[in-house]
Amino acid sequence: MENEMGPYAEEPVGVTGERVGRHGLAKETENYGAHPRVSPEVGRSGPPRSHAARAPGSAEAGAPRADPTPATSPGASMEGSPTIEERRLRDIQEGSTPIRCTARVLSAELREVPKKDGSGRVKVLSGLLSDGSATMRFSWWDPPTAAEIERGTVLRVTNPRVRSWNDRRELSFGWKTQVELASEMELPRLEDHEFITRTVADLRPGDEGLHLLVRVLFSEPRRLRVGERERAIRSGLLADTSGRVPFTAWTDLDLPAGAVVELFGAYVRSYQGELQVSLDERTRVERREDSALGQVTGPEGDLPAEIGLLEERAHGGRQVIEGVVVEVRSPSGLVYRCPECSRSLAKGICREHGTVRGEPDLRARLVLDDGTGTLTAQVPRPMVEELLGMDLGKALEMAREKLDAGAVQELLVERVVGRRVRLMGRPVPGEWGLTFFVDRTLPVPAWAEREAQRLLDHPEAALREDPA
Amino acid sequence: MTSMQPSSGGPNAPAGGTAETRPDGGRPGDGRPTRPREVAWRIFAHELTSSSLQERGEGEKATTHVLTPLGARVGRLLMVGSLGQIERVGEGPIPLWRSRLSDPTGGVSVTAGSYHPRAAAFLAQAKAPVRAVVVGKPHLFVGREGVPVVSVRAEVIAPVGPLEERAWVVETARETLRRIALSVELASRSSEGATLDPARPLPGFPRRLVASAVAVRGRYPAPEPERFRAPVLTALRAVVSSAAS
Ligand SMILES: [Zn+2]
Repeated sequence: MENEMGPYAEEPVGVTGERVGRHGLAKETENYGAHPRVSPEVGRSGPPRSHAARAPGSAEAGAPRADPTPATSPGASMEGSPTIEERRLRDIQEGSTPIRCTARVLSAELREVPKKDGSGRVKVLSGLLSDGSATMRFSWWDPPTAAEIERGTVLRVTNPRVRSWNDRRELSFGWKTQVELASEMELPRLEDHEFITRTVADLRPGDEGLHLLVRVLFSEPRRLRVGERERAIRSGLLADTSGRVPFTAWTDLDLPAGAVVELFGAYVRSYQGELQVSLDERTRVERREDSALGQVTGPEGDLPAEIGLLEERAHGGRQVIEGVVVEVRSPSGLVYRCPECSRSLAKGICREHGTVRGEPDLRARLVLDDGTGTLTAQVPRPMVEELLGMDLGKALEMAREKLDAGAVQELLVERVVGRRVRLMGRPVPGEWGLTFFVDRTLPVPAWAEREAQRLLDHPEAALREDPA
Repeated sequence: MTSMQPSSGGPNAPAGGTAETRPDGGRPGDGRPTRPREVAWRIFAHELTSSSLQERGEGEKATTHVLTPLGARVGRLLMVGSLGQIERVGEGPIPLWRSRLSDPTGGVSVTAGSYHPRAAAFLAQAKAPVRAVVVGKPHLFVGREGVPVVSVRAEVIAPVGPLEERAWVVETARETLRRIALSVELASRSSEGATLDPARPLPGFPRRLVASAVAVRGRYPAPEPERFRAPVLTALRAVVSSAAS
């Protein structure tokens, strides 16, 4: 599971070209955003900002033409100006009256583009802003070199130009736009009626400011390492009557398995093509134990998905499979991982970081066969402990006693080969066939007699139900 | 073997930590298969022992495939049932163990030898009768009087509980009913003179199954797919009534 946090850990953090510490700002930002391994979601939270940086009133060289809206002189106080409207990103329309919005930078990249008139080049900082109601692209023409804008920075933007590209709105900051650094506290608080109510089946990547009524099917606390620090997060599976979706709470929210909850301020991210509900410390959680959703059950009783069907077609989302373990592939059992990148080591060497001090872990790569296809299930430590019937400490002890770390793999072979197992996880196609990233082992339920009766009643039920 | 100190992080420490040899006697390495793994066909004894055709692969690691009248081209299979009397056959230092697996539709001979020591050890130690799941490779030889006999060389044998056994029986029934339906479908197409485009998926049938059935088509002069239905339905009824009891 070395790539478990892949997309978050590997995605480069967009940072402006020149980073100049101002009034201790650099120190304050050290803890988040600037660290290359921070997740975007983690980056959403951080210390409040109080420093202000103003866009200089420099000429808008090569930038789009000036707005037809009344100009506000840069640097002038905006307070009390009757013509400025505070807007959520979601509510911003093209060509609307002068507006102000407060939003967080999700990503930013500084580029140089040729001026329209060919007289040299102009710097433009562009990226994504989010205020909890929507995510929007922004372009900041000729940004101040002294300002430190990076992931996590909260900006208050007055009088941006609103443009539209292929039905997507964008904000453009020109010389008439005033940009200030703002604090976390100044981000808009959405009222209950402003959250958009969605069902699980209707979730789309990039959705923000959502209200969901769901049942927590699974939930477990996890530790996420962010640089030197560890952070308590939580992940699991949510469901309503329309479907199921995995979630990650970037703070340890109160979401016990079985609870029915209303979530205010959820957002949706895509992870390896799979949707995931993201929650953070701004998300409000309310219990709704009276809801009929208490009846929504997990995948315990479902017929398993056919591996052959998963092989033939790409399937997103969580799947439940059942099959016989026909092989345990090396390396399985007791492995040592690189403390930097979590790759399992070969002869003490990480292919990225060289010779390192390995940290012990348990893993299993099981070849599963259900008669329609095969796949390799990647099983992380907690489930390997279940399969082995021993925890990592015991496994280390055993390996030490037998003077052979391979003894753990031997035991695993003993325990699982020939066994029918039921797993929930995520199939990912690859050059060597399907890999199935396991998040749960499930007990094999008694579906056989029900299915036997169905096959007796309807002979055509044996045919595969191919999704349209 | 000082390398087994898990807390010592020297270059040698993890060497013993990642097992480089496969306990099943296979090659060490990166665990990548050199070619796609053969799926273990779910098959009842009745269909398997009704087979009289075999395709011998060419080359060193070639797999032999038994062709069944329902169009399965079987290089590996999974069967579940009761293993009867276990006997040691053959003389010499490397014993071969043999038993007979009975499922709801019939029985087939199962052997395990030194290539699969775990399966052999299971048979050596098991007290018959024992309910078990067998994954292995089928072989067909022509016995006396020219009668073809199919047997299974076990790669994996493991004990099985009633819940799992029922799941495997239903899974096997479903797969067999699919093969029957596909045989009927192909027969009706060929009688209409229609050809099957292997590139186009046939709704309701897995691609792997269609490819196999197309490859085997015409090899049996009179496959009579419907004669395989009754034993399957009997097996399904047994699952329903055993669950009720
Ligand atoms: Zn590393």
